[in-house]
Amino acid sequence: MIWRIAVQVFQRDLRLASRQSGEWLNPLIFFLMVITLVPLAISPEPARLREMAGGIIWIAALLAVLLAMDGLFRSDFEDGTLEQLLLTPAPLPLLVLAKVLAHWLQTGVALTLLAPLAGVLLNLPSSVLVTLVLSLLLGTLTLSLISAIGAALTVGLRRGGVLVPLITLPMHIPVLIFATGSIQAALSGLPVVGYLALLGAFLLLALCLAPFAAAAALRLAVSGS
Amino acid sequence: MTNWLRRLWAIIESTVSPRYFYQLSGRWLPWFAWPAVILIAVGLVWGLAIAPADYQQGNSYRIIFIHVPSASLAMGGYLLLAICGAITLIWRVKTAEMVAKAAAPVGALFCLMALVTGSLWGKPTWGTYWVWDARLTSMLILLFLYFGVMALQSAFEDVAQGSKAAALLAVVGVVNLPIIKYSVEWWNTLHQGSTFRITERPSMPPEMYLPLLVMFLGLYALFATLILLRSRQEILQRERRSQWVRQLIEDERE
Amino acid sequence: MTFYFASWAEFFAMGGHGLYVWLAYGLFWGSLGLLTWHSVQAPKRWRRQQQMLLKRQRRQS
Repeated sequence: MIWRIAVQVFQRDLRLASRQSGEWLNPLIFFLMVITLVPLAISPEPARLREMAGGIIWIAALLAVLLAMDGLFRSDFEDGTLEQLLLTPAPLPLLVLAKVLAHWLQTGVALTLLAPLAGVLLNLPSSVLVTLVLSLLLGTLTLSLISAIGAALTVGLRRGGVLVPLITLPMHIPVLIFATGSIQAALSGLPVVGYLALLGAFLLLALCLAPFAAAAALRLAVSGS
Repeated sequence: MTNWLRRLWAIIESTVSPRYFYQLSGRWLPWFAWPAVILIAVGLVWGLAIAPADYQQGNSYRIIFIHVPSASLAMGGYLLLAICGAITLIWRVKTAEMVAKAAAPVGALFCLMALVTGSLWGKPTWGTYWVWDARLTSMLILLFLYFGVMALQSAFEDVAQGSKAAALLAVVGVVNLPIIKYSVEWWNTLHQGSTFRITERPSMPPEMYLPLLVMFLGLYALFATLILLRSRQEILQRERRSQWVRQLIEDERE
Repeated sequence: MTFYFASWAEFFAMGGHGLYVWLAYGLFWGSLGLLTWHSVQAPKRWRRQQQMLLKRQRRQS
């Protein structure tokens, strides 16, 4: 019963997303545009781009995820679905997890699929692209989970979207550091297993804790105080 | 048996009510304010005029008398926010919300001052206003964590809801803090090209660490004073419709 | 207890580092002073405001 509700929430979110292609497409286009800005703003010199590619791609991905996060709970809050979700017998953290997973499929996974293209644009050797994709796969889900807490905290606010980056960016920094570290290591030919393992550990931690924090924040937002 | 327990709980609950905290803090205030004034005055004279200059750094090292306590208070302040946050969320104690609202700007100011004084210390000592080393970078991230909590506190029309949201954020933030510090330290070791470590502190002779200790105590007392002052005001404002606050204001008039 | 500096001029110069030391101390105590002043002043102002409000309420009722 509980699983059925969670799966339904998951499927509903995916179905809604498929109808509003703008919601998930925009962050992806944003991602590519930011990637394009860097050579224009700094330098198109291949060696320099290669050096910075990991960081640029990851910052662009981070910003794209943050951009997309505002919509996670907002539409449900506005049409009353959120209150309904609170009333179901399924535990709210599980439903939060279902929503975040559905959202991640639209943003994080999509970004991960675009990443090799970005890597080529920024002159990354193909041997590094695997590490890039793996780091994004593990990292974007962690980012989505952490940002979900921010989205939940600000869901009632009209201008809440502006606040989500402010309150969650400091907590994204560890993921950013180790993900870009893995890409730099791959560039130098060093082993990347350690980095990816640590990213996996962050992901597990986020999977265990973030849904509960986000659920608590949602309850706060819906109950009003 | 349960009657006794219920009475004990009622006593605890009344102790943490905003009104009782207001009365209690009023009695505590002079015990923090006066020592703060005295200790800071003594510490200033001692640190600026009496302590000898450092062999390597000359007189610029005197900035540590305000820099080091600031950094410590910045971190302690966030810990206080997290503790108040936990108390707010677990036991729904209103007073904790109000103390958190009062304490956040104070801690944030000390965090900012730690960065500014550190930067001004860095220039004559190591030739640069800023360097991305582990300690400074972590302190900058801490400042952003403060801004996040403060932004959340003031973003809601319903002040109580905002305080609770900020309480949750503070608790989440404090859980992340060791992870962030570890990550930044690790990142720093990876990118360190310089041969010297900026954050290394040689052991200090007593002529230097005694005035530092005095300033430490004085600034901690000032920190407590400011928080008590601001908490009291926050309580009055939040509870202004209640009978005891109205009584208080009227009594003041005469 | 002997003073480290021989004269006021030397005290202000701080061995050439005067700009940094005094700027740091100035910003630090200046901002703390502002915060302290605000923390003491705001309650007083608020109280006066509330008293006027109460007086007006009394007069109306």
